Amino acid sequence: MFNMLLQANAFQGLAFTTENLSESLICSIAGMAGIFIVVGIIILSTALLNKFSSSGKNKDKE
Amino acid sequence: MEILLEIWSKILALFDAVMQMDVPDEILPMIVMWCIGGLLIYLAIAKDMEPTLLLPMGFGTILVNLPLALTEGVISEHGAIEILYNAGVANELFPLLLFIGIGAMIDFGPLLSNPKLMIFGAAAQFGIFFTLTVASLFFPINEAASIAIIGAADGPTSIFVATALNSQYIGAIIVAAYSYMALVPIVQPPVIKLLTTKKERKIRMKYEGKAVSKTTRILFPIVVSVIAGVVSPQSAVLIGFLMFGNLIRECGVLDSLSETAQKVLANLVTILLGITVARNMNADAFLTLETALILCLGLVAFIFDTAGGVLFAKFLNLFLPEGKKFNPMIGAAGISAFPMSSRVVHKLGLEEDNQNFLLMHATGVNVSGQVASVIAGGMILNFFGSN
Repeated sequence: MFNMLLQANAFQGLAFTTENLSESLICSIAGMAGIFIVVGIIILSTALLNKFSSSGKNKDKE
Repeated sequence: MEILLEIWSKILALFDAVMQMDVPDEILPMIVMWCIGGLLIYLAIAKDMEPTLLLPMGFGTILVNLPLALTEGVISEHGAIEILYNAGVANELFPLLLFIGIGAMIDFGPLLSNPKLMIFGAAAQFGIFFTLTVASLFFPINEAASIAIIGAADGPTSIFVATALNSQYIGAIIVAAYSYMALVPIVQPPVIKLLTTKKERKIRMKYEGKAVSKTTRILFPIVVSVIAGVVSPQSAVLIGFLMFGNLIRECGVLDSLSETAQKVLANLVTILLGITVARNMNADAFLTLETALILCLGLVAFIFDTAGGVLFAKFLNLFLPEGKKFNPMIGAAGISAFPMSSRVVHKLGLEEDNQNFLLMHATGVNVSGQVASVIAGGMILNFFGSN
C-alpha cells in the first residue's frame, strides 16, 4: 500500500531551495508595508467621515 | 437454464476482470479519499466545524473519487462538477458572489466608532507573509503565495487568490483554510497566553460606544472601495464586491436585497462552492507529501497571524500612557475568522478578570481583519498575479 502511494503520488518534486527566498522576503516586507499604508489611509478617511458627519449633525441641531 | 448459464458466465467474466485488475493500486487511494471525505462530513456534523463548507466538500470528495469519476463521471470533461467548476470557480465567480453575501452580513459599526482599531487588522496579516517566506523554501513562488493566503483566515479570499494564481494545490489550501478557521478556539489561546503576561491580559479598555451616522455607514464602503482600488488595484474586485454587499445592507432602501444576499445568495453559493471545490480533492492531487506540508504551513500562518496582532499591540503599548494601553489580546482578533476570534479574546479576558469585557473592541478588530485580509489577498495578487 505504502509503496504504491509513494510511487504514485508522494515526493513529487518537493525540494528545499533558497532560490525564491529573497523574492519572497522582499514581497513580504512590501506586502506588510502596503497593507499598513492602505489601512492607514482607510483609518484617516473614516476618521474624517466621522468628523464631517458628526459636524453635519451638530449643524442640523443648531 | 440458458439464462442461468448466461448469468453465471457473466459472473465468471466479471470475476475474471476483477482478478485481472490491479485492484489495490486502483482502489486504495480512492478508499483513503472516501475516508477523508467521511472525516470532513463527520467534523462538519459532529464537531460543528465550518459545516456549511466542510459538509458539501466532504461529500464532493467522495463523489469525485468514485471509480471512473475522472473519465466518465462527475469530473470528466462534461461531468457536472467539471461544468460547475469552470462556470464558478475557475473564473472566480463563486467567491465574488459569496463576498456580496458576506459584505451584507458585516456590521462595520464597532469599527467605524473606533477606526484606529483597524491597525490591528493590518498587523494580524503578518502570518500570510511569514508563511509566504517559509513556503517559498519548498514550493515555486506562485504556489507559496497561494499557500500563504491560508493565513487570510477567509475561505473566499483563499479560493479566489489560489484560483487566480492557478494553484495545483487548491483542494489542500481550502481544506486547510476552513479547518483552521474552525480551530481558531484551539489554535489561538495558547499563542496568546505564550506572548502575554497575566497583567497584560487583565488590562481593561474603556468602550465609548460612539454613535455612527448613517452617512458614514453609507460612505464607508464606497470610500474603502475607491482607496483599495487606487492603492492596490488587484484588490479592487475583492474589496468592491465585499463593500457592495455592505452598501446594500447600509443604504436602508434595499432591505429585501440585503436579506437575500445574506441568506439566499450566500447559502446557494456556499452549497455550489463546497461541492465544486471538491473537484480538486481527487486522490492523485491530494494524497501527496505536499498536502501534509500545506496543512502544516496553514497552521504556521494562523499562529503567526495571532502573534503578529498580539505583538503589535504590545509594541504600541510601549508608547501609550497607563489607562490608554490596549489589551494586547485584542490584536489576535485581527484575523478574519469572524466571530470566533473576537469571542476567543473576550473569553480569555473574562478568564483573567470577570469584569473585563473586551467583546466590542475585539469585534471591531475582527471586522477590520476581514477588510485587511482581503487587502492582503489583493497585495498577493499585485505581486504574483501576472507571473
